[in-house]
Amino acid sequence: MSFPAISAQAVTKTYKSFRSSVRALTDVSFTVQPGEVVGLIGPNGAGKSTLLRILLGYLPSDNGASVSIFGRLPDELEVRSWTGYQADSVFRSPQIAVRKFLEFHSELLGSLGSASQVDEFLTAFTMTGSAGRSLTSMSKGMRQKVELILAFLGRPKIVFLDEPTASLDPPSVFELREFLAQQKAKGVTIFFSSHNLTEVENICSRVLFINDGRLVADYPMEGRAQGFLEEAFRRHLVERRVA
Amino acid sequence: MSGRFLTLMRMELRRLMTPVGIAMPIFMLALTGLFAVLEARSAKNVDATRLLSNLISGFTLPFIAPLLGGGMVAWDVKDHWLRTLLMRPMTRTEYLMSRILALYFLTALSVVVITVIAIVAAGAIAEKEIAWNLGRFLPMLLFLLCHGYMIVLLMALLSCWTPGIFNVAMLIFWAIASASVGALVGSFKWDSAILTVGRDFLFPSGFLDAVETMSREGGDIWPHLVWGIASAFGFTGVTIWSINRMNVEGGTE
Repeated sequence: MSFPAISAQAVTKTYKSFRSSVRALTDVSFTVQPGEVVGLIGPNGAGKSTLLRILLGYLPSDNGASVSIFGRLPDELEVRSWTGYQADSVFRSPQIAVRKFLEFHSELLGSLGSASQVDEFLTAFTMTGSAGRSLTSMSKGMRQKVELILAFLGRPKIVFLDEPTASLDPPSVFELREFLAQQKAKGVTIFFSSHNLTEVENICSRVLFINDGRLVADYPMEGRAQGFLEEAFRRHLVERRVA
Repeated sequence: MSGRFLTLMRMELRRLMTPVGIAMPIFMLALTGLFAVLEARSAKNVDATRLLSNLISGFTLPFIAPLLGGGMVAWDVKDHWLRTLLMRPMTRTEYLMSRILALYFLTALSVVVITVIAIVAAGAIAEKEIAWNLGRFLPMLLFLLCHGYMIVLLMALLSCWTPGIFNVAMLIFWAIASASVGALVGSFKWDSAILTVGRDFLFPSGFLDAVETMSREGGDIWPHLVWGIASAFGFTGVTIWSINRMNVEGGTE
């Protein structure tokens, strides 16, 4: 029996505090098939990061929701051995060098990780020369590349990327685009949240648009003209203002 | 222990090797050694068990563990270390135990090294004979190290619920408050059976009480040890429950 890579049904999330409660997601439902590259776009505060965290099992959704990754619950240990995640927040430490950090993660993956894969990815992201530097000595963009490498270590079946191009310079964006194309060809499912609409158009086969915590559109990207997403984005913002 | 757990332990030890993590034991060694020499000069010999029960248990251990591990879990959440680890097939309990054991290992190693060097240095500098009395010294040292585990454990528990190094402040407040209440009960309500028993539950100090009982060479240490072991298991359970309640991207839900 084959399962969808991601199945999210009626996902609602309310952040509760002593004084108030804020609804971050309302009844979000979608599925992603294995091998798809799906983008998640929406304005700031739309609920993209909350959705990613729920899909990764870091946050519980409200009662009544159902989330599965290849038919399994996202916080199961086995699921984490074939799930990659590039976060928008990074860990820094002066005691740990880049290669040591990557090798450590590779070791945590057990038989799935290998030192040769670390070398291969360092080369792909032109970071071989920085492998001995500590995590605190790196620029924001370089550190983001380390996070991207982390996401693809092992043999992930699905990778979640949160603003993967946010701090990257143009050559690094080209490297990433090439790298993602290679991963896509290998059948890796990629789900990524981004504000960079051009990148989303270039990379994704499908785009989900989230606004005010609701999934408002699900666009297949095949045959779309360049600039389609920007137009769609503007249209949704106008509708939002009118509403 | 799984290979993954040992890998994590090694990394946790590496993360503790900060300039502060290296300087603090050296600083505490210098201070402990100084106090040991001063005490040795006014005594007829260097009594290793007395130094252990007074200086090491009352000064060195209560300072070194919080200095090395203040804010441990809270900072791991804040600097995204915990989230980074949970990307991998790793349970929160594995993270917590590796963090506690790595800190405990460094604390225990520091305490043992500081104790031995301070005693030997005090004997040499004060030119006094050292009375090791190993039959009492070694069990006392063992119980003291068990108390060190309790301190590290309580810091981990409190840092699951409080930001930054606030856990250290809470631990100090807790220890002082319980000692004060305990002293009041001992002085004014010593004839109340309920309050006297209740005093033991103010702070999980069973192992420390065992050390003090041994240093006085009187009394039964077993009730203290049983209380110490029970509290070690109990608080380990509460700490594991706490870490499993945490939101790894921002604090306790």
